[in-house]
Amino acid sequence: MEITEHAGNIVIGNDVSLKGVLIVPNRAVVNGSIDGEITAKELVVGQTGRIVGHAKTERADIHGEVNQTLAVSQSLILRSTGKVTGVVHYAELEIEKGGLVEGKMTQQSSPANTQPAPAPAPVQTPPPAEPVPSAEDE
Amino acid sequence: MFNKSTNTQDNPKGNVQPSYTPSEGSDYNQPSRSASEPTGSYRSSMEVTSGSGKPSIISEDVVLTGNIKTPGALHIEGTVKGDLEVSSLTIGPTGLFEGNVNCKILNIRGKFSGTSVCRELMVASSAQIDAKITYQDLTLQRGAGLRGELHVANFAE
Repeated sequence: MEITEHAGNIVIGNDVSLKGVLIVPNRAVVNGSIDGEITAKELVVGQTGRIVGHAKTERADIHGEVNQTLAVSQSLILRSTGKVTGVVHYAELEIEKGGLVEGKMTQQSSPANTQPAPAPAPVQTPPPAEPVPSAEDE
Repeated sequence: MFNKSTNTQDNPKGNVQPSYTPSEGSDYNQPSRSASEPTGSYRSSMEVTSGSGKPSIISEDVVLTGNIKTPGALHIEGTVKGDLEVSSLTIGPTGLFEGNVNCKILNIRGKFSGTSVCRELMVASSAQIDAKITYQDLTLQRGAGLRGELHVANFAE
């Protein structure tokens, strides 16, 4: 198992699909699919990854697909296999040749935090599939 | 698509978006952004040349309002407002273009606002864009400012 056991991270493996609200204090790696909301400090969507819903993060590295809303308070990198549709908020942006964006782009000049979030209270609904071992148990 | 009909005849003076007030001399004409900036590595994979093989150049101090149609390439280092129908448009680091452009290759290093339909869109880090762009292929260098709407199209050919 290569699942990183550091606290605050989540890895959603290939073929794993998830519905719900995820709040990830550190890094979220999405190779499966998420339907819902994800808030993470750092969001990596792998080539097979797919998010439908709202994604909010400081730094995003997108190889897969993000639909609906992507709010990145710092840097957003869209790789050549990446595809983003919907509304995109970013501070700094880079798109590799082949990356696709369809929708509205808005830029925040400084890496300030994006306000429009659901309540910041931890309303974490534990998703049915839980591929992350909680590090606190150890 | 949008704006394909709102071109030359309907808009002979090219007076698009009169809300814009150019802050000439202070804004687009920054001496720090010289045309000799190293941009050689940022080239299109499909170069377009006009019949004579040379691009038409609107140089730095030129302010042009009107519409341009050319089967070749156009390079803007000055200020242009209007509608363009060209095969390849480059907005240089000191260039400012406001209006609608229909082209194969759109290479932006300066400022652009308006709408565009293009096949290949290339945005350098010095670019500031506020536009509605339909494209097929996109590259954007880190640091560029892009606001507006993007649409993906699949142009045959």
